[in-house]
Amino acid sequence: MLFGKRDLRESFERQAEKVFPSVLGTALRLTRSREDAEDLAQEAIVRAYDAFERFDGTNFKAWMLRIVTNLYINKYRQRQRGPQLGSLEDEGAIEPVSSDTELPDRLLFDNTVGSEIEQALAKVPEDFRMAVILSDIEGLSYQEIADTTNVPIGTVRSRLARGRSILRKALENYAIKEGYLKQGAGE
Amino acid sequence: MIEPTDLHAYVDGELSPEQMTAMRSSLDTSPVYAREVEAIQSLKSMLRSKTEAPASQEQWKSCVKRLNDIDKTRRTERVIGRFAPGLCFGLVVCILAAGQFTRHGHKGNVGSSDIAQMLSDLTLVRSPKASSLPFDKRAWEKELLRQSEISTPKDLTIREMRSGTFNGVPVKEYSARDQNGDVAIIQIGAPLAIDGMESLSSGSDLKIGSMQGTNCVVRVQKENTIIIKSDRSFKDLAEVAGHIALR
Repeated sequence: MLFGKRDLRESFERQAEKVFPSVLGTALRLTRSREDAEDLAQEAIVRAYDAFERFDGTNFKAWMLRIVTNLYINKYRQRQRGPQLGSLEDEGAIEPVSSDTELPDRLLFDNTVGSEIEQALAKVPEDFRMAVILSDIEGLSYQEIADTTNVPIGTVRSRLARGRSILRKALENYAIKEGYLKQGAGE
Repeated sequence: MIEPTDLHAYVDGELSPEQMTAMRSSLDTSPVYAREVEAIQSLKSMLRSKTEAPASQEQWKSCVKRLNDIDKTRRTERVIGRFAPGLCFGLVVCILAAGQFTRHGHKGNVGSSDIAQMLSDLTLVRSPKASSLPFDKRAWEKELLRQSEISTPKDLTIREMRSGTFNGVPVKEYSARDQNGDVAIIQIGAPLAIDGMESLSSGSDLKIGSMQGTNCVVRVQKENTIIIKSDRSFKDLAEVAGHIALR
């Protein structure tokens, strides 16, 4: 054994504490329930601690997020309500949102606050949302997302493109409703 | 025509160097795709900068507490695991010792089946009736009484005697009779406590009970156990026992 029991615990705790905000944040964005997120995050920490001797030592954060995601898929997904994975047709229907007329994305994004982003993100179907969270919030690479969600890289690419597209639409709709954008500005 | 997924991969830096170069050239000539790239970059930047990690300190403390509990459980399991073979061995030794104690250590404790086993190999002391000599029944009964180690009430005559040893302990069985019928007297050369026997009354040295469905009275006297068996009441048996003594 590389570490003694005490060293193992210390090493795990040191690394886990650093990534715990990401673990809890991801759990919260997946479950959309504080209570479920806390349970999920704690269970992920316990599972990770149990399996820590088998951790290959490369990217602890990606490894932890993989545990959270798998745990969510296996235990919590059935209980969740709200937008689920779109159909394959939806997944294929990735189109640029920008048009010939100048889309004031910068204006939209500058005026959007965190809570509005979280609300818009919650409207993105689950598997697309997962890809966006892991890539754009947690900064995982395509390969790490593919490993985390157990899908091929091609699927990660399409889910990410589709997820961002839906998120932009949701933000635009929100901005129009709040008066940041005029109707038709995003068309 | 650029694939939308390629635009996203370009923004994410997930294209090969050659693909990146080709994409840059394409974007230079296509303001629509260039705007799309800018929009994706803005979205990415917004997500990174405006989403905050939730407050997690309290939750982390709960996790640490849970990890402490796990460690405590593991330590306990390790200790038990380490000493389990020893504990099991100790338990087995205790069970065996208790068995030995029950069997031998507590020497007097026997069951009625043990008594039956003790009597199974006794040898009949032959009377001259079997020989060609003239047989005097009364003289033979006197002889049996003389050979026996017990004194009996006057009206109780010993008609047969069997003797032997069991595990080195001398055992004798007398078939006797008085005016009320047959009585079996068993003499074992060791003080025994027989299972299922109860005191006749408080302060009495007589124990009463049943062996193979026959009433019996037991008395321990001079390191010997005397059992009187007969189909009579305990009161009658106790009276007979009161008159039987070891010489």
